[in-house]
Amino acid sequence: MIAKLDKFKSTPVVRFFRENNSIYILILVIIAACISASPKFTRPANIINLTQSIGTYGILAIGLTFIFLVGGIDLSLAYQVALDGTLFVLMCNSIGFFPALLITLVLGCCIGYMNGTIVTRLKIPSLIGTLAVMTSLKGLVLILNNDSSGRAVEATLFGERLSHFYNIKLFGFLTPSHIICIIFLVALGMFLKYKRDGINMYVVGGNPEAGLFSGINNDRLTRMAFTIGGFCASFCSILVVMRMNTSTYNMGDNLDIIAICSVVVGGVKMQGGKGNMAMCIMGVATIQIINNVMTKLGMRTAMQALITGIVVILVLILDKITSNIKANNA
Amino acid sequence: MKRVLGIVLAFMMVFAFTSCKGKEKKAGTSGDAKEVSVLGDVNGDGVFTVAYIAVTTTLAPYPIDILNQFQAYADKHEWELEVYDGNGDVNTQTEQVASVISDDIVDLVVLFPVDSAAAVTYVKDFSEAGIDVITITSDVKAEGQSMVYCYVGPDQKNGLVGPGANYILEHFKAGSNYVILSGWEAQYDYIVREASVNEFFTDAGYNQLAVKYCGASRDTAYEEMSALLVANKDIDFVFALSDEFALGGVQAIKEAGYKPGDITVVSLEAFIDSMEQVKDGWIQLTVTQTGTDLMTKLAEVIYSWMAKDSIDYVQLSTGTTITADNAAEWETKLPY
Repeated sequence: MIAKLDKFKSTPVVRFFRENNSIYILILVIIAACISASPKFTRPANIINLTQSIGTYGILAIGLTFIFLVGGIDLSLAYQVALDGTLFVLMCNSIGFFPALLITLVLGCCIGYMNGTIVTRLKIPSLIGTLAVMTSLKGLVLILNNDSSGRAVEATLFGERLSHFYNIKLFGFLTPSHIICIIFLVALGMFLKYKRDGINMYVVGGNPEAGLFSGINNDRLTRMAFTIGGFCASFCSILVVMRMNTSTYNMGDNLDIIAICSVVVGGVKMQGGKGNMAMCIMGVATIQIINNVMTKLGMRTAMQALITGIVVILVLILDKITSNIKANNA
Repeated sequence: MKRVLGIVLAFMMVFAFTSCKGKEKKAGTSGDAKEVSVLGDVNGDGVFTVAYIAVTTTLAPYPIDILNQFQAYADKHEWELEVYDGNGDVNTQTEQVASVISDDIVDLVVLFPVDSAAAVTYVKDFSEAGIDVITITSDVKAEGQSMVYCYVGPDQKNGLVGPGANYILEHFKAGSNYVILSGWEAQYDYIVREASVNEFFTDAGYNQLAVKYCGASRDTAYEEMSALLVANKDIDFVFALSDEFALGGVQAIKEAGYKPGDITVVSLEAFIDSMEQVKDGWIQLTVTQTGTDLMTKLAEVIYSWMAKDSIDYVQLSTGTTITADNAAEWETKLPY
């Protein structure tokens, strides 16, 4: 069986796919399918909307990629987005945009650092630790979204300038979410590729024992990864707020699922040690394109969730098969 | 292997997507006189297309009933109905609004918003795109209402909350303790209902022990009510803002060992399931709210919009109070 597979893998077509990351080909095929299925998909307005979503959710996924790289997971991301967004709106209304922006980003880093500390200092698995943080953040968000008598806070709208900013188009198509996402991709991509801490994160996630023997401070890098995750979550929350021109207590709902699915589909290993910015953004693009075209085709949300889930499961199965083959070959 | 299977998966998706292609409406095929004369066809594609952007079409009986009635009405009158289910998620609804605008084939939007504040941005975007909006059941916040043709929904205060509030005012003295079982915290109709209850009871001297938000879940209402009964032994009445929560609350009251009438429960959005509880005295009063009531009014409003008539902003659908006296009669009439 393995011999047959080896022979199959050496055929020119398969070799071509092996030499080029399959996600790029997958995404091209999906785009072709989308164009074929829905002419509305290729409308410029839709492409801009779609890429804005990729940019906005991509930033969250970038942060999660770092956490995955060190072998962690952060289930509190959705409520980090909700908390950061709510505080950003409240502060925008009181102290102005730039102080609010700064404080929100610092807060994001602090929450991320706290998560990292829970995982490294208290030695609590990230799944459990961040689940507890998520529950607390959810409560905090609900408190902040209510007045003293328990009723929903009335006006969270703070003018229209921010939503205008979100929709500004340079050269007719380049919006702030595109630019910010590209900056994040390039800067953090270079960090992972060229900076020692970035390179060492692969060791922390892939082979932590080897990291320890090499003198790498695994705990410090884990905290750094979670801090980057929190920072990205706060930036994502600001973009989501700008898009809606308001914050809501449930504005983070499903964003964690979207981010996790995207990063997994992109090929970033949840076990740690494998992944990069290109994989991350391609995963986000894949999930967003699939969701976009399903909306265009009039599919109900339940069906969309089902199909998205199936895609993720299939990708995980493929990943498992590949791992097994590699293990057998070794 | 992974790559090959990936390609197989991709081709399966091509097949799946292209299979759905036939369902899509062809835009921009107008031209002959017959098509242009279609009533309500603003963009001239020969079809009157309505986008129904809903908070949910699956999570609660009332929205399900609205969709069923809307679809039946659209089919009967040959309207093209594009349905978008927000699934209670504000981000999903934001994406759907952007999608409707970029598609540019819709003549009219009927919006049942997930969040009233976020909906202000939606109606502003629709306004800039030249698409008219009618809100149903949950309105946008006041800032956005000038950009909406009208709001269609039940008379939340006097029609839905009023009968229960008046019943309580007749039967309870100052100092009585009560709890409110509500739905989604930030959704307009629940905000209005809760505010209406508070307004009715402003001078009554009642003690509000808690307001619990149960989403669209009877189970959550059951859990919240169970916890309240443990924490407070002196609850006199429960004001449920939907029968979904009244039923969860009644279940908790029964399991806590109370008898019918020990704790008064008033509610709204009458469900078939509730009729047995009303007849047995567990629920003292509820008020009907059906998709048919809403659709009757919505259809009137859409025809007014087609005729470019100017109408009042608030268009109220009707409801009926149900007590033990008429519960048996309504049991067979209610849609869910």
